[in-house]
Amino acid sequence: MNDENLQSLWQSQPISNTQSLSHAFEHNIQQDIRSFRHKIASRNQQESICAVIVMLIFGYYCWALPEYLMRVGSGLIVLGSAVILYQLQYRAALQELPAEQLGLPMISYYRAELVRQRNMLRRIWLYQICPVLPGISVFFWGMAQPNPADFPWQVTSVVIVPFLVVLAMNLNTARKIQIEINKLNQEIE
Amino acid sequence: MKPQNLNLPQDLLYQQALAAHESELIRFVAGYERDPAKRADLLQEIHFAIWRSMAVFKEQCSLRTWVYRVAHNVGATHVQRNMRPAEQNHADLAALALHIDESTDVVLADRNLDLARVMQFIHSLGPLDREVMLLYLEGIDAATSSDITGLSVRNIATKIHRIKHLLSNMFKSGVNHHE
Repeated sequence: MNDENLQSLWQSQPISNTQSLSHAFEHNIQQDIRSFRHKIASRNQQESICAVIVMLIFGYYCWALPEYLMRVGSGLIVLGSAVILYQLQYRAALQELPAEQLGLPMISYYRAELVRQRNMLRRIWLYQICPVLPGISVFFWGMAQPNPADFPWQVTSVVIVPFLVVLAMNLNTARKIQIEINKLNQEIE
Repeated sequence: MKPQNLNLPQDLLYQQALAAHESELIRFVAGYERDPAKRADLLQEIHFAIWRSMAVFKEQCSLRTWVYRVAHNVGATHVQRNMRPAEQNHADLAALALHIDESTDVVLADRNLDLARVMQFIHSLGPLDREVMLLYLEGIDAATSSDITGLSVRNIATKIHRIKHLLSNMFKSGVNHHE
């Protein structure tokens, strides 16, 4: 199949009913904008709901638990979750790219996007793990009272192991993205 | 952000772009989303991005180049966001050469099957190779493709040469298999 045949094959492909959407601007642009913004907003919704649930549970602990250190730990976890929530809102706001960036050649656009994602994954521990770490530590210390030597510290692995797994998964994804960036760098050279 | 007046320069440029490049946009979408049910969403996203980008379009390049850039950038982001873990590593052109030689088991009977195989090939490519291939299929020359992708003309020419070689092998294998 020569160039002409191949290009003709591609260009004469049947166009599905997606074509009707091509007149979206005149008819549905308001709805499109709402739908688009809804998509952006819902991306972090799940994480936000989790943070709110954690805040509610530990907010209750903060008030109801008898052990002083556990109450302090619960309060710190609530504060840490609030920081995470703020970060999610802040990052959601950053997810809408500046209009100028949309018109960049793909190699520049795609590289910038990959670098942004890599940095976000590398720093995820900073804004999703670190904020609740002091609270969890104090909470466990409170659980270990009155005699820390008798406390089954293995219990802490229930929290620590998932944290480490999430961290490792994110770092692994960041590593894969870096490989992709290296390939792009070679294309630029 | 909501457009109150649909006759702003931004809106007029968008309408102009749409009138001139509507068909290409729909074909690009097919190249970036294999599930026909999800193509409407991607097309919608591209439309919105093009409309949004028209606010900052100051004839830095031709309208076509600008529209193609926006469409491909949104397409690439869409592919990246929606990839399953198993699809995270796109095949490069060298790896695909081996793959095509070894695993051609689809009989090419008519144009639809040819198109399906081309589509399957496109969907196996990484964003840059995919963009180059889609531009080649639209009949865009290497210089314009270079302007759209940011790759050098030489790099584009090399990629197109390799893509054509792979496609040629793919179709030959299909024909041999058919015989």
